Amino acid sequence: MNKILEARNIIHRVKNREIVNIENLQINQGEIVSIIGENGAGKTTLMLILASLVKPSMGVIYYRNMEIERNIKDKDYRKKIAILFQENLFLETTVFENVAIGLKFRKLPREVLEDKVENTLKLLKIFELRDRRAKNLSGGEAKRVCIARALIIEPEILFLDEPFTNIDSASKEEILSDMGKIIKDNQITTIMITHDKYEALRLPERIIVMENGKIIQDGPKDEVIHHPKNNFVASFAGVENILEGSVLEKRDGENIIEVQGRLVNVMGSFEEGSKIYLFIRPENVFITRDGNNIKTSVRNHFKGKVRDITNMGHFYRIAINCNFNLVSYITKTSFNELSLKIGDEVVAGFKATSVHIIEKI
Amino acid sequence: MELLIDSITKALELICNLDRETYQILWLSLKISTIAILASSIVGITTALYISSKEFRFKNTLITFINTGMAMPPVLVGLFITILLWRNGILGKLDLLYTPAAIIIAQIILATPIILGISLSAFQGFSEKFKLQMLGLGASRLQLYLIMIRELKLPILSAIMAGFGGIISEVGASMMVGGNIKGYTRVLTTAIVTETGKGNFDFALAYGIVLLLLSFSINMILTKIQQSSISRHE
Repeated sequence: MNKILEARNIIHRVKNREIVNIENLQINQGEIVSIIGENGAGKTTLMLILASLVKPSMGVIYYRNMEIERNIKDKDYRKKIAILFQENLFLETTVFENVAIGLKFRKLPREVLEDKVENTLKLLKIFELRDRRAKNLSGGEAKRVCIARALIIEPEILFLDEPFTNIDSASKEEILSDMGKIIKDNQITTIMITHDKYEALRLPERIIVMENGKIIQDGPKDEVIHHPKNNFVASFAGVENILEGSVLEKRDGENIIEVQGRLVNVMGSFEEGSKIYLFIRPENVFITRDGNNIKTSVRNHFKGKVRDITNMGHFYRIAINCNFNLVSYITKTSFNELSLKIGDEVVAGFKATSVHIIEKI
Repeated sequence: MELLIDSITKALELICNLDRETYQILWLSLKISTIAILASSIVGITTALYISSKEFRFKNTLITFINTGMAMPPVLVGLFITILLWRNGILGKLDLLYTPAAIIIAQIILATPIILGISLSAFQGFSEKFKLQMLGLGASRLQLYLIMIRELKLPILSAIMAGFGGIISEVGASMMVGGNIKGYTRVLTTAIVTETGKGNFDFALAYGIVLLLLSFSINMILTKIQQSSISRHE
């Protein structure tokens, strides 16, 4: 894959506080990457550094192996990118003029500019808004104008900083779908910062997780979801069961973990006495009313009481208290067969192989 | 009361007949203040942009000086310019004292801090994210500054109006550095002082009314530009 962007030994400090510390980060041509992390993790600062809008205290950024500011001027590099923030940040003028602004910065002739604006407005289904004042638009319309403004300049790299916050979910899905199609059709390298699980998983193929200014996980979407490296990533990836325990025994690639007085079998080779986190996806937790019906390969099953039942539309979310809290997602059919009620005694279980574990630091 | 009515009647007659001298004074006042306000606007706005976009030591001290300059007494400016342009002064060789150029210099010094101070506070309040957004769409620094000026035209026009109001009505500095020479450096404000001193209240009132009309006309044009952009914001 062709490397389009690379950050090497980036350290950025503000008032002696280290905000970003990245040894090496490479973004390949056409990749769609989401950067996730808690508030203050340094995501936005990293994005601004990559976009050459903030000069890092140390380190260099390369665009197509050219060092920014040495081999390519930062203003020339910025002509190849577009950025879209959470806020709409419109000029006090019409939709047409707002969308055209990037082309005006590039001094395109008026007739070319008009054609391009009209095509882009049509592509994003907002042509009828062209003469409206941008600041008077609704949330979804305004966001489409922002996307049109960014995409019209045909950027090689598109930076998105929590772009869909404050938009209702129906509009968000429509916009993401339309924008995703354009990005993929045109192979635009996209770096998206988000807090939203849906946004982070909808388009990107690669997820970068940041914590305290550092990248703590970077990999394909599936790998990050199934093998989260910390609690934040786990809960972000939809792992509702995050348990804390300590290793009681280590044998043949297996660990016996004590969790709230109960013993859990997991695949692992942590030393005895180690403190660890267990991550179990709720779809991997089964429920039965009769403990005798459990398959023999299932090593972990615990008696407990149904604490909460939530109808999630296509499935049910069942919370069970079995000394520790366990959440299970079951289908409507299973729910009806089990005819569960709050307070019912059940047996909940999961396979040792469905538990992902990391050491608690 | 009779004196006032007589003076107003005569003043109106003078205005209607607009004699050569009154026309000359009006034209000189307009010319001097227009040149001064244009120069002050360029210096004030660009300096405000520069200061707002840079971080440096003693920035707050500099801003305090600028804000103090907004209330600078015209006679003090007049005194300062007179010392500079005096025959033995630092700029004495330029031979500018008691010329229209000297009044322009004094008015630039008076108006610049006003325009600079008000513009600076507008630029400092401008959204940092907005600047990043424009740069992130490919704007050069110059294009960004032009956008900022366009987006902030309301406070900037207010700054220019305040600056113009300050110089068109000042008398101390014009009197000191211009010398109030008839037909050469006499402007509307110095003419009012002269005619009042001579007891020619009708002339003084006539100049006063012309000054008010001039100020009103220019402010009307600026207000029209300002209000049209407000209505477009709604």
